Amino acid sequence: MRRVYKILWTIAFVLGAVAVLERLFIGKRLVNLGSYVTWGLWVSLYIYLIGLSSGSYIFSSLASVFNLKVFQKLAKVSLLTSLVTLLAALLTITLDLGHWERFWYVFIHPTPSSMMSWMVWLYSAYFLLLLVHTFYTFTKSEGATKILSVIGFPFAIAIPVCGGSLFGVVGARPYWHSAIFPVLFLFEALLSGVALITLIGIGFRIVKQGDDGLSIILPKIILGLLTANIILEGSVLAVPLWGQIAYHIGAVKLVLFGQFWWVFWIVHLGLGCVWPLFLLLRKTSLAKIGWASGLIAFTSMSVRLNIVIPALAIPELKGLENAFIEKRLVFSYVPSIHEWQVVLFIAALVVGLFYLGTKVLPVVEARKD
Amino acid sequence: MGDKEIKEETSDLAKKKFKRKDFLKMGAVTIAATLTADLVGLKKTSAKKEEPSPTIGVDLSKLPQEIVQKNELLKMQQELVKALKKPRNERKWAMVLDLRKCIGCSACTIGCKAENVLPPGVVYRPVVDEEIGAYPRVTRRFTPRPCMQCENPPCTPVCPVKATYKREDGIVAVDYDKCIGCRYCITACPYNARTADFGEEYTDGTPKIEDYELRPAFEYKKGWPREHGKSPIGNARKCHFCIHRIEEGLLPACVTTCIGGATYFGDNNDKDSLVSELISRPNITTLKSELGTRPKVYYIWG
Repeated sequence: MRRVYKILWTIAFVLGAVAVLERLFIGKRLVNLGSYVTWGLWVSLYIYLIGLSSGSYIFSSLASVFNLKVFQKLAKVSLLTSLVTLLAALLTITLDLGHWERFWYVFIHPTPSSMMSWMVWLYSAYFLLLLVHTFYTFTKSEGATKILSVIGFPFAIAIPVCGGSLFGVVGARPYWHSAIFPVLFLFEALLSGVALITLIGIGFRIVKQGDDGLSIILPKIILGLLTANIILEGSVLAVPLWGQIAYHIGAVKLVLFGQFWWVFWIVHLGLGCVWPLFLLLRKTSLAKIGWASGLIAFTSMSVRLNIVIPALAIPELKGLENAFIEKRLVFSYVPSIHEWQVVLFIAALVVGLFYLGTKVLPVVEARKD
Repeated sequence: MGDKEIKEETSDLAKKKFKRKDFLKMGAVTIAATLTADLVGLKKTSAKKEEPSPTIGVDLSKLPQEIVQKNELLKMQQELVKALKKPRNERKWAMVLDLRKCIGCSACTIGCKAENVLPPGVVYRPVVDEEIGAYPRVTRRFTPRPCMQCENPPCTPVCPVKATYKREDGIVAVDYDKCIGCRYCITACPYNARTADFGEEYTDGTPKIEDYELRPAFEYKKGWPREHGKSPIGNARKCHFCIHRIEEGLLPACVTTCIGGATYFGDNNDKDSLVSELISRPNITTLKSELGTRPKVYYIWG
């Protein structure tokens, strides 16, 4: 079985690596983005991975910052997950830049008015902090680890808040321009991060049935966060609908009834909310918690897709969609095979780095207990 | 027929004759001026880049003022040269689009495409074509949409590297050498007036990428050959009122190619300019004025 996984991983990695090389040497001709829908799959993946990273980090800090010893066993694996997903996120967004070789300009031309500048500065500081934190955690320097956790905790909170603000401040897009976005991003990050760590914890047998209460408390945390997210997302969609201003509800209508309605109704609501709720509300077992966590962690990518793309798929001026018709001047977007291939590479990279991390670093020492 | 009537008729005839003569003369002088300007390559600005020389542009001084004042294009041309004599921060370029005159030919769009060597997916000035009313009372309205060159542009503060900025003369520019291609500015524009260059050519997939697609654009007064991985490929791109033309004393390409004479351009800081006169009328408006972006592109709807 392990061999099958390795073969599958190699195929994914090679297929993805080809696309990454194409991106570097051919440029962005192979993406299906355009001048109107100018952010798509990669930006969505980026904010998804950033959410996983900060969510995992916040979770890893619970034991050291708030002295919640029950989570101690998951701290190291959370930290590794956080580092790996952050690396993957930064690579994803770098590939999305038109001039990736100039990314360092953000540091030499600081622009405090741009939320993107803040985001890059925060991520850079967070990345360095994660590296140092990982080093001290695995060299068993408890004092340093605690200090780093205390410093890192607000960073991990600020990152999804900043990510949400990046969209929220864009007044030109009524769907994004909402004060709820920073809060939504924070809760999405927490939910997806905690769900992923729970899945990994169960997969690596760090979380066991009736063990230290983890198997009892984790589903409750996930349930609470899922409920909070449902309320927040519901507000994002329902408030404009009730407002009934056509210009404000265009993107919401696309999410609910557009070409990709199934991404919301089936993938997100069905697989990412209703089914996990069903699994978590009934008498739970580790398998059920694992399923629910996995469903939530992976389908939360659909939330990001439904945040990024629909807002851009609405013309700012009526009639612009027919003003000058060319392939990249349309208000619709379906990712190309090349884009999916890059996603495959990122996924393979995350799995590969995580696997490597578990081999090199003693993240799952609790398994021996 | 009385003497008075004969005099009036003669006068009308004389006027008509004068007009025809004027027209021919004006045409000949315009062509000559344009050709001369092309041949001498228009006098370049002095070594001090910022302040153009007063002799820049097409010299209309030999044309009778009467002719210049009658022809809107020549008048705008003269006003442009006059504005260039002022320091840059004392000019405020503005555009007025008289939609009553726009026939929706899209010559401005194509003129702009050719002038700036715009690749597929990049358009600075599309013309929105709307059908208004219900049969049988139906009409069409054409709205050219260049960059609004907002006084309060929402696209500039979001740029993480200060690559896009508002110049002293009010034009919102992009520093292609600085732009990292994040496209945040594209999402922030409330007029969809920014586009992204994905490095494609119209003749992609044919045996030869035609030379006319690879010739350099001269945006922002610099040559930009189309080479893989080099700007403006990978950048955000937008209308810049043809800075490279206006600072050499030429009107923007969309103004000179507008066959209906619907596009006006000039210095809104000059109270006597044609655009200032049009902007002061009560029938002037801007797109999405409620946003407070204060566009410098104005529309006359009716």
